[in-house]
Amino acid sequence: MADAEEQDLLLSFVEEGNELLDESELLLTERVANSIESGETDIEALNTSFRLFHSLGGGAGFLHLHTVRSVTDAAVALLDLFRKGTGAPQSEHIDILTSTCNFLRRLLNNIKSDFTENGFEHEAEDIIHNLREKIGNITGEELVRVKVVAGNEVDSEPETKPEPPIAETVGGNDIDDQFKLTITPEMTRQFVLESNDLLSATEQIFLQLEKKPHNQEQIGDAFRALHSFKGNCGFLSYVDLEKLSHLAETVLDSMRYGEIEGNGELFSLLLEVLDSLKQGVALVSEGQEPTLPAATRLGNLLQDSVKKLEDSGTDGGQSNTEPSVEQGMTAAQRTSEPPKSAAPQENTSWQSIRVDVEKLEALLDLVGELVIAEAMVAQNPDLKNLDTPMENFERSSRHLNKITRDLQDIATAIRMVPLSGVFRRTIRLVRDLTQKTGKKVELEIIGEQTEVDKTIIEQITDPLVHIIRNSIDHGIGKPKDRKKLGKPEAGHLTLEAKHVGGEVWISIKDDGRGLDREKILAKAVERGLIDSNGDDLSDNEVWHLVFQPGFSTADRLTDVSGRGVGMDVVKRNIENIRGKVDIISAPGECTEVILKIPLTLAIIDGMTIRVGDSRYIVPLVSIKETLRANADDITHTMDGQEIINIRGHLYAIVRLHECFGVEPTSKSLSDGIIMMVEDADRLFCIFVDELIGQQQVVIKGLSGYIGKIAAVSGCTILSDGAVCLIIDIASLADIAENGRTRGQQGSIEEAVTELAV
Amino acid sequence: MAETDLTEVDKITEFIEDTQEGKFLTFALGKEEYGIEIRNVTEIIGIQTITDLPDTPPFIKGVINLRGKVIPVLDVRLRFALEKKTYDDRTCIVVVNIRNMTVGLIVDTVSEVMDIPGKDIEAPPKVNRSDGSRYIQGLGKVGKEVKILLDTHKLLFGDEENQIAESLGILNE
Repeated sequence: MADAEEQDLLLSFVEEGNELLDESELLLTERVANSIESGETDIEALNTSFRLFHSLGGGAGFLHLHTVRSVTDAAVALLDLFRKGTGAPQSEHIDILTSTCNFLRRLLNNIKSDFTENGFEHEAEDIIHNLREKIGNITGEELVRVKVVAGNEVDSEPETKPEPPIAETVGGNDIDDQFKLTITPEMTRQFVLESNDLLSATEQIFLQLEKKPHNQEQIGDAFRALHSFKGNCGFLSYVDLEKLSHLAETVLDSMRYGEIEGNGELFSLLLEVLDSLKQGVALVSEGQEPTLPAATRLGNLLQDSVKKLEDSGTDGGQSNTEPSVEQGMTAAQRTSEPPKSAAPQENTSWQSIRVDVEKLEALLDLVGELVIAEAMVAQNPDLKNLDTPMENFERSSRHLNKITRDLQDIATAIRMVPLSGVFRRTIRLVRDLTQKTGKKVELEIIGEQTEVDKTIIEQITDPLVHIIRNSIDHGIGKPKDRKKLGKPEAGHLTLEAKHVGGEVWISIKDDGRGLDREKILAKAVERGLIDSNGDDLSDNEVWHLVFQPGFSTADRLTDVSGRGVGMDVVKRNIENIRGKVDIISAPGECTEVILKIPLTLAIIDGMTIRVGDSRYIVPLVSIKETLRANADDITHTMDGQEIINIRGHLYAIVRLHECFGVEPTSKSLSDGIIMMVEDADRLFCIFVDELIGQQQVVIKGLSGYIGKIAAVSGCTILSDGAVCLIIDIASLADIAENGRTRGQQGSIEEAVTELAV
Repeated sequence: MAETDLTEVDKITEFIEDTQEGKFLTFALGKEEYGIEIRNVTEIIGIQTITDLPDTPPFIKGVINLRGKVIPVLDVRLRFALEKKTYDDRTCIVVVNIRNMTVGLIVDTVSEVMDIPGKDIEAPPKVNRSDGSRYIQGLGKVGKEVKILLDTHKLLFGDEENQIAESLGILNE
């Protein structure tokens, strides 16, 4: 009986095989059959079905499924004749090929249930005979009946290493030449997508194996991922990629059969190989030929280190067979213990498809329009003029409303992606950094399943890298320094994601030396970032100084961090996605950086407000409170600034009607509404006429024709179809601070008009 | 040989490009008739509710909701520094698309689509008389009437002088 891992391999082969058969049968029965009728040879369809059978045969050969292999080989040989134009396909050929497909399907199903291909030999012989007969008819050669020997040989002799996959030996130059012509941009695009997935999956496995090199299941996973990658490369004739991945695959194979045992050096090398493969894939995505100059060097290194490991392995044991069996046994025992930690991640029953982001955006746009259209219908003013009872209409309208909301929720959810991809990438980063700096760090990842919008993922990758670099380079000390302080030698770095309200908080916490208030202040004074010596600043204010551009307290520059470009980039990236950064630090104990980011960029909760005839949206997250002003609480300074006293605290008032140049219902502060808003740590008040209500709005950009407008971050379409501007509190805060008045702005506008007209 | 080939190709390309050339959408501003090339025009709609934009030159009236898309609209009268006119039933928004940007042009009223062959188009007189003249692509003669044919691109983006002014505006923000 094949062990669990072999069964796994067989099952995935069966699944893949069935897909290949379905596809090629479809091609044969539709396109090739049509081409017979029309009398034109559909060379592309023939090529594709040739390739499909060929891949099936390759996989079967690799798994020692000889019956499948020999049947497919015969079919491949027949298709090859058609493909090369030696013979033209007739309907009898289609018949026999489809019956071959049917036979193979039954055979695959048998493999799926019993893990053996025994019992199908005779039928296979018949089919092969028929196929050869047709081939003979075309080529005029005599045929010899072949005998099929069944059996998954892996079962009987587990210690033999499987031969190198046949796909490689069969995939000779003539095939390569023919296929090079048929590679479409779509194929390379798929290749790049799939390869990136496969390679990053492999990388994750390597990183885990590095710690526990005996996890047979994971070795198998990595082996399979690399094997698929190699197959793809071979199919697209990326020779360098194929060779290098083949070498890495061989190493894994030896590991799988216990011939060698992975050590740190080997995994470092394998990771380097992965990097090189990734470079190759990157070249492909740029439309270049993936030549890897490092391939030969890495290949040699790999082979050397495998040899070394093999030697050390055989030194211990007397004979060649015994230790491998023994190792195989222990390995089997290990796999039989369920690896608890890995289990929850391996959610294999997930079904997913890849969708073009553009299509998604179009869907989201349409749903946004649907929401508006639905409101326009349900609240249509014409309905009010009707005298008939509206009961039925209202019921249907409510139903429609519910469906639209659900649809909107789902459309938004589609864009949500778990953070695990970004988080797992940090594992590699931490590993590389610790090796470079000679520090020890344990990385703990919590909540990697937390989902955020796709565009947000792109924006937080760089900040995360910067923060982790800082933590390891500056925060966590060298093992011996840590020991002196009575801390464990290995630093602890926690990466955690969680939902808090309408936000996702990503926190990066280390148990290093913490931020040094004195050092930061000294540097801030030196750089002229603060005027005083900083005694009056709160800790929080001091910590935020590190976000200033060009600020870096590292005494010496390292190649890891300390170029002084880190934290300000972090802040800028996070602010770009309407997020915030917080730092908590206890000197000598810990530093925690928290990135507070919104769930999605496409929709915000907003408060609709009215100023005169215009309506605006204020993001709800910025609003602290709203109140009616008492004339006594307002102070006018001599430069025209108005200040309000709210429970003993003083806040500047920004009159929105002045900022936007509209006529308000009332200019008296006590007639309208005072809304206290917050941007980062800046609190101020804005004066508006009226609050209309709270709603979720879909954010739309203003046209590129207009460009950026001060104090406006975008716009949205209200349920009545009107366009409504979304107020940018951050730039309003700048206006509040700099005290820019409408008068100054007007003069700029006049100047522009004068020049423009 | 090569030369004749080239001219053949040129002729064909010209022909293809020509299919929409010579066709102009004419509209009125006050007493004068203006025309813009039809190939830039995507649709014509009636006047809509316009949302004001702060901080923009006066000829940019604001933004409208064009079936879920937010597009800016500019008043062609104000662009030419002509007198302001209140919008009414006859006011139209001509939606044009240039450089993948959709912009609405507010005009008094749209007249018709007409062919004005190249031979009937004259270059504007080289007199730097008024502000608006730099937007003129040519003067089209239709019978006794003269249509002022506008360069849509310049109308939207201005020329260098304008760009300086516009970037000045951005800097001052």
